[in-house]
Amino acid sequence: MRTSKTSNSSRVRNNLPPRPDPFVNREEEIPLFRDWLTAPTLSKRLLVIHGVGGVGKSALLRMFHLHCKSVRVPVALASGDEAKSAVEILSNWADDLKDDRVTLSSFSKTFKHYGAIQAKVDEKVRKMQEARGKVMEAESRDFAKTLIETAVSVIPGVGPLASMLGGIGAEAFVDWLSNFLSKPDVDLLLDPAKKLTAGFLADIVQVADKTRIVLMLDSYEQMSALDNWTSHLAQRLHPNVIFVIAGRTVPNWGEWHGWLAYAQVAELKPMSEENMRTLVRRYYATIRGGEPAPKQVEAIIAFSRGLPMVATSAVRLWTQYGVEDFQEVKTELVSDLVDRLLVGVPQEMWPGLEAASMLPWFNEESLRTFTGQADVSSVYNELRRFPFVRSRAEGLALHDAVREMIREYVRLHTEPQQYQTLLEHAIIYYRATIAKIEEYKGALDLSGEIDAREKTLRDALGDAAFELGLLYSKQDRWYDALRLLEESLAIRRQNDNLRTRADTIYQIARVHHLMGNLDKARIHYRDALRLYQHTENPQGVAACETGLGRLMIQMGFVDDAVRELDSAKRIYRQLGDNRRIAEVEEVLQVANHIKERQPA
Amino acid sequence: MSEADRIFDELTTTLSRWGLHEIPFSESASSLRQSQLRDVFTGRTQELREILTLFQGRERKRILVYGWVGIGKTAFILEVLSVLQRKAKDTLATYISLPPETDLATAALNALAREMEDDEWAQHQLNLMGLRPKKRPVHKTGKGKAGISSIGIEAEETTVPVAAPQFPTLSFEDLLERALKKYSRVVIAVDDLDKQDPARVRELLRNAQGMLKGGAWFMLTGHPSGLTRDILTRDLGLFDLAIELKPVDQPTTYRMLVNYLNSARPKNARRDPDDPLAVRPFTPETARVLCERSEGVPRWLNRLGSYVLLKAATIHADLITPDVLQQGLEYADQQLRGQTGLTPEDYYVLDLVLEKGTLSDATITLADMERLKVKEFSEILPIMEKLVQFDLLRRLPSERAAEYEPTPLLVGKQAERKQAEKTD
Repeated sequence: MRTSKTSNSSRVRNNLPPRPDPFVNREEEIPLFRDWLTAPTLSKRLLVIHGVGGVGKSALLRMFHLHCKSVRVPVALASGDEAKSAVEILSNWADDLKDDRVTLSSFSKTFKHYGAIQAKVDEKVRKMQEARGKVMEAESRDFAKTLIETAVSVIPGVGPLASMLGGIGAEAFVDWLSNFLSKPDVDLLLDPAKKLTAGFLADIVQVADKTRIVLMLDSYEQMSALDNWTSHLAQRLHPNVIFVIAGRTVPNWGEWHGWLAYAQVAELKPMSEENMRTLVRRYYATIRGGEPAPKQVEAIIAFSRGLPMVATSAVRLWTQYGVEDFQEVKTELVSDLVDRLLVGVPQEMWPGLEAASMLPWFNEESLRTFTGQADVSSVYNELRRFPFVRSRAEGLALHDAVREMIREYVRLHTEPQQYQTLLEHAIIYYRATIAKIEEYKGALDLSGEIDAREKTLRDALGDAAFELGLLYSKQDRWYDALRLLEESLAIRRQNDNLRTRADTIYQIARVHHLMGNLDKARIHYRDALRLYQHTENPQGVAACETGLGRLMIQMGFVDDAVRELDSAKRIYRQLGDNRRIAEVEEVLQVANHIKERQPA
Repeated sequence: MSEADRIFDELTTTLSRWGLHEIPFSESASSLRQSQLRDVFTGRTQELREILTLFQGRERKRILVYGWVGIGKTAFILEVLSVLQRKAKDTLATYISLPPETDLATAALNALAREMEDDEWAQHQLNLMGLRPKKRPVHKTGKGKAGISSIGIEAEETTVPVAAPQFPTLSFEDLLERALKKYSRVVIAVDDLDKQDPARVRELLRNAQGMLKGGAWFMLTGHPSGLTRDILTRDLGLFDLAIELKPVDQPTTYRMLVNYLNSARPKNARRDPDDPLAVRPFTPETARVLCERSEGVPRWLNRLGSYVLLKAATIHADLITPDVLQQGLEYADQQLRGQTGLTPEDYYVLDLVLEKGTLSDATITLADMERLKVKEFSEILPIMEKLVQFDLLRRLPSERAAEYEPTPLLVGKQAERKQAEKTD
């Protein structure tokens, strides 16, 4: 529950490109924002910007930030990368506004008091730790235990308390606090968001009566656990406040049905080639000076797939490691993309990158545990300088889009056994961290801070369990596979991504099919089929129909099988997937043989 | 005389006017005493012949008895065990309802140890599992049937989860060896596999392959879904005989009704099924309607019979006329829908099935599921299975789809059906 101590200006600096000059494109959003800043009254006051990872949302928000500064409109920016709780967001905003000479007296007073209470608790915990001595160090430390401790260590605020308070529950924790804190202080410690939000809103009213204010939230997809809080806040903000939200998805404010009436929603699409060309040239000029070779520019554009973040990362890495010789790349291959993106990255960096790709965030300790290397300081510091690595309260994190690419690359290029081990360790790590959070969230999580981290970890666990389940199924470890896939499904049911959910259900169907649980296989194939149809995923639909076709043959319903297989074949034809067509035809032949033998 | 005394006397008088000393119907065969079961067990001649023929042989066999919920699997195996106890003197017949979260070896060990009261090692095994012979500790979790009183049947009781022994298969084999020194044949009947997830049952069976192929006879009961022929008899080759129990025909159902009613009459007042008075307080007409409504499923006959008699007793009816029967059926409908343990989610699913007539993994739409706040049929499957256990839904015997419809115990369903027949 500790708030980030990083100062605001350094936060903004860390996430900014080295100089603002390279910014390109976004001709619609920037004028709109400028118009809003100067409009006498605001007919709409919510600007929601959404788009895929790496498309330039963060850069756009930072452009807005700079523009506000240039026209002297107070502006505040918080990002889901580093602010995981309402308290952290409010505190980051308050820091930012202080730079613009806006003082939030009521909020600051409560926040200061909240800090003092935290310090008091920290001191108590420290004393308890000292009293407990070094017993822990003498205990045996197997790998799982190390992972678990590492996991907890990267949760700010939870780590020391979790290890200290051992098995005591939430009620006992509150009792313990009551020994040295007053009831209002315990309440503030356990639910600081309520009082701090009220104070913040009241202070903002005073300022917004006189001047326009801009509040911004970036990486909103990492704050989905705070949907209720942000919706509550947005509804109560003064009408002279512009609230900008950027994320991969639009906020899910189901409780506030009419919010779209106050909002302008803009989707950032991948950049055109022309704009990418300009971006690459400007960015190159900014960090290296001069003009890049045209062939080099075209190669970057080809594999950046319209994502400016990928393009700037590529330029930075290539210039950083002195590699300038680009060949044409096949953009559809992720491995090729990463290969090119990380060309020249020294071999000794790879274990660190592999580990980083498995973790939503990492610090030196988790890198050390995952890589098994005693000294990871230099790797960690090197990673810090990578353009797609962001610093956050827990340490560092790869940008989501790049993390996914590197993870895919690792999956394809690492020895299967080694990749499996990485996944197994990651799963232990996720489960352990989630379990610790669960254990203490009754007492520590009323602000929602832990929920946001827990959700990120749960999603990561869902993905890793899916992948490992798939690996186990290929090794005929069916029961292990099923348990992991079911675990993944339970997690994926909690979020809105129906495609990944359908993928998990389809794999569960396959495992049941292989195990001979035909009833369950059929039900799951059909469940996956419905979701694939709903999300318009023809490959998924055809895969389910092929599975159902095989299944129906086994169950003796040959006509049903032929119907399913014919449909799958039609789809594979449309997709031009000859390998699959051949597979389906083979099964169809079997079905037709059986039909011929059946009595008329 | 208190109001309660008066009501009690009234009900007793009504029952005695009907010639009954109690309402004889029972939802579960395991709650009947052995003599009661013998009184009421009817039909299944062919199936009994098949299974008892096997018991004439020396080679031990593994038998699966499968059929839908309420079809009479428990009654069937208890009847077989009862015959063995009475007629095959050298046989030790044991019965257990598979407790939740328990593997087959532990269940078999438990069943066998209970029947070996004089064997210290058996008693030691029970103690290790936290159990005592005959008298189980008190128990709030899980529900099951266990133990064999005198020969094989004991009242239903709630059970605590059994603490699994460290090496259940080895412990069972040791105990079996000791039992086979005293008996020439040991029969272990493990009931209620159908109360578990079919995929888990399959896992249990795979894990127990060695034990099942050992020195004991095994009788298991299961559910058709998941325990289909390809899984059990072909793939694993675990079973020598798989007997499917299907709904009984109408004459058998009628005989069963007569038997139940006779079981609550004094011996000298029992009547032959051909006698119209044998079904009193039913008339032959209302008895036939009741049997038709039960569709040959013994548990449904018991449920309906019990509710109709309770209603008739409440309104002091001397005879169950069509009008009284209708009131009784409506009462059954109310009681079934109002059973404790049903959650709002269960009712939402039931309403959807009632609205659609039938619901299956093949026909359900995402829109249907949106109403239930789910996106997968798998998510409502446990609810459907629960509603089956509550006799509100039944699963239709199709392997093409997991297809469910309301049971005929619900009045609305019957009315809809009649309406549909008229329209046709």
